[in-house]
Amino acid sequence: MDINVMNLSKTYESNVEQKKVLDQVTFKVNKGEWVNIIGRSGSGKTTLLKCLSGIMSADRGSIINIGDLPIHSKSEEDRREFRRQHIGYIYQDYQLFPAYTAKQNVMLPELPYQNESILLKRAEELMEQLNIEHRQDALPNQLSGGEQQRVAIARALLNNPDIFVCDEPTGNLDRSTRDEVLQILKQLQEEGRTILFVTHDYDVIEYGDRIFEMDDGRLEEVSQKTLIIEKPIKN
Amino acid sequence: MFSLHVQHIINNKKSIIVMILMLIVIFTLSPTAFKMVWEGHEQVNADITDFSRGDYDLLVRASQSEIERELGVVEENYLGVGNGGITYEQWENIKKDPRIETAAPVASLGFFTKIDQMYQLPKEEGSNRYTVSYKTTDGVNTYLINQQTAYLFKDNEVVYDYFYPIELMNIFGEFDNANFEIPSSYHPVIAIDPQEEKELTGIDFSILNKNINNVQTFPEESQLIPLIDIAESSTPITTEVLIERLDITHQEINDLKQAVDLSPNQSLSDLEYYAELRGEHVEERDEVKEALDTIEETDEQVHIINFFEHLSPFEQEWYMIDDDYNIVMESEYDIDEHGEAGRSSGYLSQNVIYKSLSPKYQKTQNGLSIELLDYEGEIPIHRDLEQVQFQEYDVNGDNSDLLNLFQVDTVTVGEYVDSLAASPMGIYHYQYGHLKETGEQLKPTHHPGSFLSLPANGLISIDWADEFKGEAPIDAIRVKVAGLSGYTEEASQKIQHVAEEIEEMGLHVDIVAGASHQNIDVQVEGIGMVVMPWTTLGAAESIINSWNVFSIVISISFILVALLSFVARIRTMEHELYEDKIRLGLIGWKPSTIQTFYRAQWGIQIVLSVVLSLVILLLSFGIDILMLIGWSITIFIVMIIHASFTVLYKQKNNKTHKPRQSFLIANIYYYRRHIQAASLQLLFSTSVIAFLLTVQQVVSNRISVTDLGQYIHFQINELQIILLLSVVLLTVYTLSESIYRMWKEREEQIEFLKVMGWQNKDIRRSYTKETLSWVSPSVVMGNIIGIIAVVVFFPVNLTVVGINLIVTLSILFALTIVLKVGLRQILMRGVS
Repeated sequence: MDINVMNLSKTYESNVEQKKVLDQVTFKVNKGEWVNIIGRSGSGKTTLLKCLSGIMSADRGSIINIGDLPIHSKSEEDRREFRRQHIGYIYQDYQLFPAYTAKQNVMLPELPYQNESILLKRAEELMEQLNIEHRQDALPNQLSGGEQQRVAIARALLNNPDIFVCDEPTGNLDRSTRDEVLQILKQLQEEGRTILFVTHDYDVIEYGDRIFEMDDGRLEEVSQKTLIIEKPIKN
Repeated sequence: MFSLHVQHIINNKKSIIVMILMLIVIFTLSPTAFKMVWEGHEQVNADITDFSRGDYDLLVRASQSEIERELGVVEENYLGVGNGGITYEQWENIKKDPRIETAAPVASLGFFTKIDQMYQLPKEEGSNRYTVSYKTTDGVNTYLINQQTAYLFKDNEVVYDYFYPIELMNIFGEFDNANFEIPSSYHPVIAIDPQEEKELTGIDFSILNKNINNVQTFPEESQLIPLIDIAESSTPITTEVLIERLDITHQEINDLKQAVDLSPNQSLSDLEYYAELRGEHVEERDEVKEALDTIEETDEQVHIINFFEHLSPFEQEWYMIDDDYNIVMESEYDIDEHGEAGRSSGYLSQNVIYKSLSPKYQKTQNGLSIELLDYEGEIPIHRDLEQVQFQEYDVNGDNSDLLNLFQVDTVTVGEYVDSLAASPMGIYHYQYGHLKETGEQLKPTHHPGSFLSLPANGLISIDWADEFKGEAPIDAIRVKVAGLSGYTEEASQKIQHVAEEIEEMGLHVDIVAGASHQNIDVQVEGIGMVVMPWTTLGAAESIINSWNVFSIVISISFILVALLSFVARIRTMEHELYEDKIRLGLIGWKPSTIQTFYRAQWGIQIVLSVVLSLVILLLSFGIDILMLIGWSITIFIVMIIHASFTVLYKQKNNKTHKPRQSFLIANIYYYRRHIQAASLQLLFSTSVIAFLLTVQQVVSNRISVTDLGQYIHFQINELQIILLLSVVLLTVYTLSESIYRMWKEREEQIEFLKVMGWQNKDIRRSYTKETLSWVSPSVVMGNIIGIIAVVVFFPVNLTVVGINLIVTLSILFALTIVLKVGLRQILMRGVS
């Protein structure tokens, strides 16, 4: 699925001030492309991902088209339905439910909508695919960071989404585990999925096709060379 | 450090405000509850003292009826059949006891019929058919007693013939007028002691001691008994007079006579005489009757005469009817204006006494039933009657032993019926009962076979009672114990002591002090379900006991619920502060410094709560010493609990969590620490609410069966409702907070469910299902525990089960609403 964004703005309003976090962001991501988004903390990266995936509504005038669907004009209910069917979300802190086993966490996205036995079979397949089938009955606090992130990826894969939204998913992982996770995502990209990847990590940048940098709410495409030589990433 | 305290308060303002609010609720409601329960107790005692001692304390009888023994009640008219059983000597012995203020005897002589009397209708023009109908009523239904039809024929306003039933022989046609006889009615006559009765009622009965001689209407040598008529006693008989004008000539009557072989000089009435007294010419009589009955009237008029609204059954004076069909006493009747009137009366009718036996009561599941024995005419009869000819007039002999009742006065008993008084009113009771279904008031018919007891219609002196009933004529003695100013515990003991001593004389004594009227359901065959006022013995003791149980239970329950809520709150607060304390430790604070800091924080909250609660108490309730004591005790308990809790509290983690196959069980197991506390609180509160509601219902049912109980219940009902509401509100508040806190802790998870694409309704359904899966068993178990607790103290009935079912469903319904609202709030606070 292509992603077309035009004039995407987002303003946070509080009683005392208005803060524009995204300012007229315009860009396009082609189907099957891996796009890395970099930028310092508070620059608006996470907000951009949330607006793209419909978790957060954008300001009036913003246009977000994913495939043929105008996300910006859809209701909260429709956006959730779209997200469930087309977007897989991965966080840095995994967002696993501590009460549930790894397998139950994988089944969770479709729990109200599909038969449990079908979900169970699908979860087992995904966990086997990600080499964590031996940990399927473990609780999150019994898993290593890499295992937890694999469980999170398996959960994001449950609906076979077209787009993966990754918010610093390797931030808490050691190098070898990080590489494993990136390899998995690379494989998913090769299968035709679009990947939006927020990171601070230069090594990750190598995996992407293009790089965008967020700075004070504005998004600008940069080359890898420019980035390394002229604009070192500031945390 | 001061600025740090201020900053801490600002940062935790929500939590601190909630704690202060809760403390204010506890510090204000607990002493208020304490005071209210105390005052309620005082109120009950005061009410009992003021209102539960009736006009007398002891009812002394030879024995009580079986039904009274079974039910622990006294019939309003406790005299029963009037068989006596107490001698003058026994009465004198009781009366002379210095501890006794009044000993008023009662002897029922039975029912006397009204003196036979005729009345004359005004003259009407032409020939007329007179149809007189006598009807009685029980307040709801009207029954025909008797109907008489008589004919008076005139030619040029000169009467030339009559036709009337045999009962009207020598009455109808006297002075060429249409005369009838007032129907028989029955009137209880009771013997009392004028002096003692005056002490009891305040009414002067001394005229009953008067000697009466030379009254014209009675045989000269007979003894006349002075009698006081009671004004309130009326007999429900109405007389309807239908007068139909007949267009018939003298010749036509003569032709009718000829047809039945009567000569023109004979009267048609002769046929009735022959038929009824000799059994002759019956066919001819019937033929004439049919012929006359079928004559079409040319005009008609109807008049109602209510003799018994105006007249005393013992009145010797004649009654007249004026031209407007009004009743006029003979002394006021103007012969010149209305013409000569026929009059006659017969005191011989009062030589017979009727004794009415008790109705045949049967105990049923819901009360009593009374069997229908017979009908007289249309009137249902529920009691057997005994007829006693106690004397006979000897036309030729000595009649000096003859006793005749002579009315000397009329008194109005008036409001001598204390609405709360315990004592059965007996001879003065005028509250008969009402139909349960419609509430229509019932009263006895004119017939002594009515299931309702008649009060006294006439009073005579007790000195005459042995002439009618022999040597033990007294049915009951109403005893008032001397030197008591109210119904206190001391009074109760003194009354009890006197009662025991009278019982040693072989008499039955009911302690009616502390008793109260009670409505009893009686299924009366032929009438319907009737609610009748009887008197429950020992009502005051029952009310005090019930109230004491309820007060203790409600106080303990309220305090426990309040303290449990407080514990839940400090547990939540400690949980919230746990991370902060760890962080302070990490940055180098000593444990003692951390402890001092948080103690100071707690001190600020408690001081604020104490001051504010005191202000609220002063402004709204007006604090007194009782409340001050309750307030101080509450603060002390709260401080102790807090101190113990902070020492004992240990934060636990979920390392012991085990994988569960079910999503639902996995959640419940994982969050069990929250759930355990909340469900324990819910279980306790639900059982307390179920128990209190049931106890309230049972106690109010128990004490409200009597008038006294109803009065007291009305007085204290408000207090009970306030305390119950407080318990309910505290429970709802703390439970809502517990559940909300648990969800709040999982807010991030809820947000991620949204990220994964779950719709709000799915999230709500999932969390509601999870919460109800532990809330429902807690509520149900709580109610079962409540019922078990009730069963220990009270008999279980359908009402108890019904109340608990309603409570269970209401709590579940309320919680479902709270859950939905709470979840909606959390969901609306989403990231969009």
